[in-house]
Amino acid sequence: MPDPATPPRPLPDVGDPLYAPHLQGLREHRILVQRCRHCGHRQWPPRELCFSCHEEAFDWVEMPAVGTIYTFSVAYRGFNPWFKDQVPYASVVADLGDGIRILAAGADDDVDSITCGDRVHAEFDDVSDELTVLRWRR
Amino acid sequence: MMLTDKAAIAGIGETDYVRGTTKSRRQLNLEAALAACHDAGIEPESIDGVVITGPVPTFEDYVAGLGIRDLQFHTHVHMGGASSTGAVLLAAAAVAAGLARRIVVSTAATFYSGGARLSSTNAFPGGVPPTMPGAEIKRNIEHPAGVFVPMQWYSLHANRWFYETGADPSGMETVAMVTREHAHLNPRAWMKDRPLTHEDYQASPMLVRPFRKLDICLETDGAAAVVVTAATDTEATAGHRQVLLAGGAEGHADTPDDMASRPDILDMGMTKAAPRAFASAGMGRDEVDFAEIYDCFTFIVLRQLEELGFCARGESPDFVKEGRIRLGGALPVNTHGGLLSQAHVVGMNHMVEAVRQLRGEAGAAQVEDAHIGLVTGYGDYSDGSLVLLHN
Repeated sequence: MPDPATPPRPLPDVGDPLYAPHLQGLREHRILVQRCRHCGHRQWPPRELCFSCHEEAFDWVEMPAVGTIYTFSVAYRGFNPWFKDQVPYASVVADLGDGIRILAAGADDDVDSITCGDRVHAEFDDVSDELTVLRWRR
Repeated sequence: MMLTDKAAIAGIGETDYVRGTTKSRRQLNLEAALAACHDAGIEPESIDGVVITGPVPTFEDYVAGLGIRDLQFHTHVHMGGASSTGAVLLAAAAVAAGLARRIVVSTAATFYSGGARLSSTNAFPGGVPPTMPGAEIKRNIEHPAGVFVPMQWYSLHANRWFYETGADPSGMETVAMVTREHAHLNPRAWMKDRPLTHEDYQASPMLVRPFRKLDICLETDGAAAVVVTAATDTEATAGHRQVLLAGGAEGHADTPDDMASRPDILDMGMTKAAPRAFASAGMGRDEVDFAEIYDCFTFIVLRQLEELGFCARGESPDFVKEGRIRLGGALPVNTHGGLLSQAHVVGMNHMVEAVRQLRGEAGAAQVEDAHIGLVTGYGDYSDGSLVLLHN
């Protein structure tokens, strides 16, 4: 029984078919994104149509689990009951190449020294049997 | 452009700007709309068009509240803080096209009393307002990453801007200080009696890097409205010096519902809108006498100055120094105090102030020889809008 005093953690929706292949990949500790079968364009976030050629057929391909910080945000206040306990915390946009950039929570405690250009690697947080959450660690 | 000088802003109206109201946004919108009709010297019943800038009210509410006899045109604009300016442009287009002759555009906000505080996602189920784009992106990517509110979205932009351009962060303080000085001249400004010193600014807590509390707009309650009429509507434009719309544009970033993944986070809607707005009006930047620039954040004023083309990327902190954007300077900005120091009316107060300036009715804050003014909107994930007005 969930503890009523602990606020719920914001998590992806396992029921969303658009995100299901990516979330399945995270459970396997892999980062998967859409690659258009017609033109090869890679895109994130996932969408019904290819941004480049507008077709609707995709493979899901693996991206490297390392990247470079393109930008970031550091919160010194809580804007959500669960994240309030994490303050201060960083949210990091990691550039993985091939035009793919992925936003995820930062995993480091040291948030004040985060700089664009820092190298990060993926950390896979197995929250439950159903869900693994991606974080970026320097 | 076809609409150049076909439409006038004939009436302006504002409610009081307060912190604490029991009035709904619908009621505030209707009050401001009625005030604008009164200012234009026209019967509210004669309004024949409405452009709606928020989730409420409905056109039916305007018909009921104003007693509109024959509504010929209505539409909605949903681009956050860019909506007010975009809506005025759209109203001018409808008037120029002959779809209506007297269009009311009104915007209300109850950021203080309405429960939708700018620092909270509590107001909406799932934390996403119904007219915000990218609901699945928020649910599946942003919220799990800890990103919930505008100050976080825009910090992604700011931190990349500092990194790429080496811009001087003290530019944000300059915008806050000058805007507050302007508010002191404005009897309708929330901060009219509150000084702001360098020490106050430096002591203001950092909420999300790089934004301090004093870098962020006010949370107030109120509404503002304009009546856009055909330029030939002599009854409506008789009471004041005529203010005409010379041109304008809207524009959007390449991925308007997703800030993190767009090719260049420094590209804004304004980047695309500004060149075509100036071209549509046949005006150059050096002709602009004052600019009312959407200022949800001090940072966003700096970036819009750059994307408007007044200076290069990274140079706006220098551009705003030495009094250039202060009344009396080369380009006075936010002569009313803006969202930062007057009130948060989602940019409609900027439109009202621009009209006051061009009428010569801005009192202590009057820009000398004001002939051409610019109003911007900025919304959601960098939607941009811009109108150029002249007398």
